[in-house]
Amino acid sequence: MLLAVLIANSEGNILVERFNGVPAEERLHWRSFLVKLGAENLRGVKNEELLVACHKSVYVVYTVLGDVSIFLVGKDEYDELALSEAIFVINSAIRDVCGKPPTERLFLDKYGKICLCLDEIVWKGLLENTDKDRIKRLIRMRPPTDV
Amino acid sequence: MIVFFVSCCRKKKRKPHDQMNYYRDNSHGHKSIELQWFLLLTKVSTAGSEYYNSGQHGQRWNAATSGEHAVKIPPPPGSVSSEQWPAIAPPPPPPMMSSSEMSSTGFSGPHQAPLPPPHPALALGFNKSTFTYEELAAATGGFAKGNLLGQGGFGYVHKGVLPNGKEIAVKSLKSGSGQGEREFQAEVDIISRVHHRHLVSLVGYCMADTQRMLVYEFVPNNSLEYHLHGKDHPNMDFQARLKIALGSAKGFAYLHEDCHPRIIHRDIKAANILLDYNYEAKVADFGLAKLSNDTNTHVSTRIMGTFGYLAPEYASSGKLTDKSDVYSYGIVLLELITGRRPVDISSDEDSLVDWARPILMRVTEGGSYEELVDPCLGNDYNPQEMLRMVACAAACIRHSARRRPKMSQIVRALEGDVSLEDLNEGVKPGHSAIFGSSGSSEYDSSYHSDVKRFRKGAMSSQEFTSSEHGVTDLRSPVDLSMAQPLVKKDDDRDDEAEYSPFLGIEKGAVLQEARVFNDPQLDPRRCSQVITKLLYLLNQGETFTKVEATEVFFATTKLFQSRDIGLRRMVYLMIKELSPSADEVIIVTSSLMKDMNSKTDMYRANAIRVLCRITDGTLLTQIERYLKQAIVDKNPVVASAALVSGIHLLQTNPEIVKRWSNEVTEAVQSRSALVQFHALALLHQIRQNDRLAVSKLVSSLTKGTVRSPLAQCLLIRYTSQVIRESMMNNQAGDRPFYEFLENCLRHKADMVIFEAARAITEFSGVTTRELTPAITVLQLFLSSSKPVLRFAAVRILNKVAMTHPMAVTNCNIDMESLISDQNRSIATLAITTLLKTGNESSVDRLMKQITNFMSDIADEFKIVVVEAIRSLCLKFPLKYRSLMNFLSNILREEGGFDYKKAIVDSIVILIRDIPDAKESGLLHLCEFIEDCEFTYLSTQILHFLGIEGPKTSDPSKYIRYIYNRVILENATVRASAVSTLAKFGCIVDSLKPRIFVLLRRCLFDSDDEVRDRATLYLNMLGGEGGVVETDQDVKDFLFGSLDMPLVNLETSLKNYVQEPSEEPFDIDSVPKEVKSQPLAEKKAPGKKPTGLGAAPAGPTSTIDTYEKMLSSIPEFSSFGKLFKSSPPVELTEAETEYAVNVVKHIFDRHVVFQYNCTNTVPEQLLENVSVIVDASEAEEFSEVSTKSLRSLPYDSPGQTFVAFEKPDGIPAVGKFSNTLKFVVKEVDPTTGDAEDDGVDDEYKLEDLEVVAADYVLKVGVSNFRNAWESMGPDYERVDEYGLGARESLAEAVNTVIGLLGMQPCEGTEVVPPNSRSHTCLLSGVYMGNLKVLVRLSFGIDGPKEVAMKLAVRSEDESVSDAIHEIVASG
Repeated sequence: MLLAVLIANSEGNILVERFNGVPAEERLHWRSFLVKLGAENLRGVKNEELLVACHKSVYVVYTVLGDVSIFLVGKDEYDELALSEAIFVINSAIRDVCGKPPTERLFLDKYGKICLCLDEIVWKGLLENTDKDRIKRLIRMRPPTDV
Repeated sequence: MIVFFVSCCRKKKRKPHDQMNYYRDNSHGHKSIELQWFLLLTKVSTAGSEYYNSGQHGQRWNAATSGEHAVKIPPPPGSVSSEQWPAIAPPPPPPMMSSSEMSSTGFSGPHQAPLPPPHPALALGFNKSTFTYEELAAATGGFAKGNLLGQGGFGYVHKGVLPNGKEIAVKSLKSGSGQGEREFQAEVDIISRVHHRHLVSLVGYCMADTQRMLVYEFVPNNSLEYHLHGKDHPNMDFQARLKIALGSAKGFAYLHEDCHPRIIHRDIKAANILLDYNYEAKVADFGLAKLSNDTNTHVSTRIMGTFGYLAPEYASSGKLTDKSDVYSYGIVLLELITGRRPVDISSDEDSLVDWARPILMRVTEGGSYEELVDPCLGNDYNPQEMLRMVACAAACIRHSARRRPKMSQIVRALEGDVSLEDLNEGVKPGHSAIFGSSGSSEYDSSYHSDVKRFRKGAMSSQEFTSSEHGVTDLRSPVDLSMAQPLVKKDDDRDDEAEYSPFLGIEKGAVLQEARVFNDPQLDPRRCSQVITKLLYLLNQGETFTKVEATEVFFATTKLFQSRDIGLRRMVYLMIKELSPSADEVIIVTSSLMKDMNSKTDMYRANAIRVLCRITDGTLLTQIERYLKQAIVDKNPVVASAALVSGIHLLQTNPEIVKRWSNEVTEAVQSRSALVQFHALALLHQIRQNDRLAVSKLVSSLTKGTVRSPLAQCLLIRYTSQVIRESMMNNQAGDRPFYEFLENCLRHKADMVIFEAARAITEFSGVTTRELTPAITVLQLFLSSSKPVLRFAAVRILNKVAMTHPMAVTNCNIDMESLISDQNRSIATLAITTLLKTGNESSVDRLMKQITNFMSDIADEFKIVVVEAIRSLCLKFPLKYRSLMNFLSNILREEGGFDYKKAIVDSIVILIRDIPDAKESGLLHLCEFIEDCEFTYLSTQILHFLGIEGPKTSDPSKYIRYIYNRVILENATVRASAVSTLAKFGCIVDSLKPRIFVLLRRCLFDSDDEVRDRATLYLNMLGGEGGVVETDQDVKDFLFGSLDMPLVNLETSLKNYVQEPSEEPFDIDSVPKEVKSQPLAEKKAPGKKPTGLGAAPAGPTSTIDTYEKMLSSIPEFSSFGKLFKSSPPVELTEAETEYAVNVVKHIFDRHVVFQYNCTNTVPEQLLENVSVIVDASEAEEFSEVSTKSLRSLPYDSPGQTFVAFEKPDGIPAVGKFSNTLKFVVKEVDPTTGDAEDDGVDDEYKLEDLEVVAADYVLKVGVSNFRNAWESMGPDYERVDEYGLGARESLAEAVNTVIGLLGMQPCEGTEVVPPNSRSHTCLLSGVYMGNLKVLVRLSFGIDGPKEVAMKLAVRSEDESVSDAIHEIVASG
């Protein structure tokens, strides 16, 4: 299960937060854990360079894209490798929507589209779409080209 | 040079401001930046005056002002006099980067001097810029009502006359803006240096306490609003209107483009455009937005009714930019054209803009504009000029801020200098020139691509570009559109820095906005924006109340009326996010069903996902047919949607989804990679319990093609499951599918390689030959540049090292280089792996590396390392010195409780297991408690010190550390220290007298517990004269274990406190064995119906101990000490009318069966409940008494008992059949009353056995070997048994353990897979409290015949024999 997708700005304010199968009372814990993790490790990291951590049996893969940090949390079959696959998709979808690694402002400007992309990529904790071009078409309700 | 410098400054200065400040109020910070910037500009302008004066502007300026144009800059606080300040030139012309400036002057130049007139303060004869309150009061007649010109969002405006006869307007700003003097001055400075013939000049200001006043030149002919909408206003002719439009446009263009810093007006409206008698427009109130609290301004502006002027993006983003000024100006233009008010509060009609927009739309498509024109004008206007005004208005009110023209473009268009096409620059063909197809930046990707395209081709030098722009003005609009974005780029950046689109977003307001969903004419763009805001709120963790969620949900469902495809996509998402309740779902079901059958694939896919998200079982059966079709849909998106839905639905409606397996099987063969992946996942979940099916699936797929790495990984997982299951039944022989997995190690996708490697390393009983290729691949990944791959590799290898350390040693060199890995997770895994694989000779080197590493990792990693070091130390006891030193060093460093506890635990274990390490270890601990902040650890160490310290060669050296605790610590630690002292005193006679002295000092402690303990120990040890206890008693008391579980003691004490009694608490009444909870306690509370009346206070839920309960029953009180109570044995199947289980209580000569009964039928009350036991198959038992249960109401458990006598000390066994007997009475469920008459009834229960294991207590020993040796061979009995054909060795071992009912020791109950022989160690206490130890040696031969050698040692010969008898008869 892909437990969480969390996107924060460089100061650790949450921009997008989607949990799957995480009890409400644990979300705050995750939020602060991830933000702390990012604050400690993401300084000076290149765009889309993946960092990894594990916390008990749960894996975290995270990265920086422009002004935003992206965190993915998974367990079981969503181990660090599956998460890096997922974060790669999310990165390229955001890049695609924003046209470049986004500033926070740009990210917020494209917020609706980014939400749609995430909706196409992760559905209640399962990876659904992995191809950015397809995602780009899907959020505009156009059928994929490879039909 | 200067231009470059200024632009650099801009960039630099903006930086700090760029910091994300959406989350806090930064208005003050903002201002201080402005101030710095202003100061900087001041310097630049002074330095650059030469350039400035020599330029074209300078000449004009000088000609007009004779060089005496300067404003008096207000003095900074503390300066002597304003007069001493040198006159400073107004800002230099804007730097080239704002190319619009050039074009603007380029255009308007020939017609009219674009430059400011002489400074009014001078032109008007003002010679000062600061005024006292008294001066202004005098000028305005004491702010007389008669002089009141008006009242705005900023405050009152009074007309005044200065002593020299000049007329002024005094604006008293509303107090409470919270602005400090410096900031106010800085802002005023900026405004006061802005002069233009179309701007109302600020001539001075006044600061008196908190009161701030601005002094303006007086503009005599009232405002545009008055002339357009005022009572009895003279009808303005068209020429005047055009003049006003043009004049004010020039004023705004100056503010936006020629001013530095540029000024956004933020409150453009007809009332802010003042007129002189020649209808020359003068814009008032610019720059004021910053002078007042921003929010207040806008809020009050809104309240004042200028809502009609606000640009749409303000509503959505709270931001006001130059482009929102343009929008407001467009509204003013519409007012001039139509003579209508922007919003007529008194009527329900559309706002001006809503009314005019459709007409303007037609105009741009070639329609006529007459409909718009103010009827008062009649035909008295120039149609060409009117068209220009109309076109400008249309362009200004475009939804998309980016598509609105700049003010300078409007000036040019109104002047007729350019074709009206100029207003459309940057708008892509195909888009409506007026409104665009969509609004906010969200949807402007085409625009972005233009920008991108242009940026690529644009010249790098800003000067060059801007001059280029300067001369492109006469080119075709196409060229202009190419040039435009560069200008925009700069503007965009300003915007970006300033606002978040969600600034100040607030749930209530957004919910309010969501009412647009109910509009009969839906505005898809607006609705999408509102949904985005709602999503933002939800993603921020905001929650909606039930009512709010319902309201939003209902409103959202209305959006199905819109055919806008983008909006529909948002609606799908929104519904999923809202996850409506079952009764709400019905509203959208039909819409979604319609979409699900739509011809458009994408509607189908999305509708499926939404429906499956919100559906329940009943709805699911209705749509099942469509879902099955969708699974095999030729569009992969539709198929995937249905399959992923299936995976989710399988959790809630497994029986339905399982019916889809044919379709899913078909989908597994899909050519689309993702469909195959999803289908495979679903199919496996559907069939996971069907081994044969999974095996078939794996067989066929491993031979066929799997299209995506993701699916390949799944296949590997399923394959290893099949391997695991087949190997369980097939101990020898080749491993199936190994070849497939080995091939996967050469797959092109990393994730597949890892999955295969992991699968191989996790084989049970993996051989070195099998392991080697996987380890080799993983080793290569250890030096990957990607952290994720390094992590994955080291994580798997770490796991392998636990079971096959030798296999991993080849990777040690690569591992060592990972110790310095930046990623601490990787480094920790590498270290812990090395600690497992390292050999004795490498320990010192390893510790050195780790020491460097420890300082910069988090506690959670440190704990892992500490634990690894502990096991390494136990593995190489000779290396204890360096390892113990390491532990003591890190103990002194900073760290949290868990970390320190891990270290202390490790040291304690090492002291126990490595005798040589004891003395140094204890001293390390003593030093640690000198400075330990954790009470728990201090007391733990003191306790341990008390046990181990006295046995050392020189116990006296520890006393100092212990007594220091009594002096320095909190009461809990002090009490522990007192106990520790007593232990030393007890064991070490030579120390006794001195210990007494210390203990006596403790008698004066402030804490009760400390004093009590000291008193107790002094008395016990004879410190107060006369030996009271024997040595053995004292030792037992001090060192003996409590001999009972603490939980039991706690429960007993709680009960004792709850039921006050005269008698002292009897510690012997605390039960000693750990027992399982009675059934009743497992039941969820709160299910009892209230109508049944007071249920008898059943002891079940409050029962503390069986013993207490049994001894309270007179029939059983004479049975003596309870030896053992078994765990409850169920006598009924699950979910029968009556649930009964039994607990067997074993006494020396008796056995008591406690039947726990639960009545699960609400309509029944059972009375006189008892169990009839037939003991014909238990010859040695004879029934002595029965205790029945008087009443058993619904769901309120009760007990009935039957007691048997049996031969003393003999482990009698037997089988008992049971029948529940009772009187049943009907209960009226509404009243809860039972009928008077009942019916006798019986209920057959399952049989019950008393077995040999019931006479053995499971009591483990920590060191079996020691216990075995100390027991001695006196009563050892050894014999061999053939156990016959068994399923596996493990099964045989478990059977014997179960038969004997003893505690397996040292993990020997686990049989390693594939092993041919096994030794199992058991310990227990036999009836009569006799310890017994058992050593079982098993061997298995080819046809699974198991042989066992049983060796028993016990404290009594008969017990050893009894154990053999149990096995022999079992």
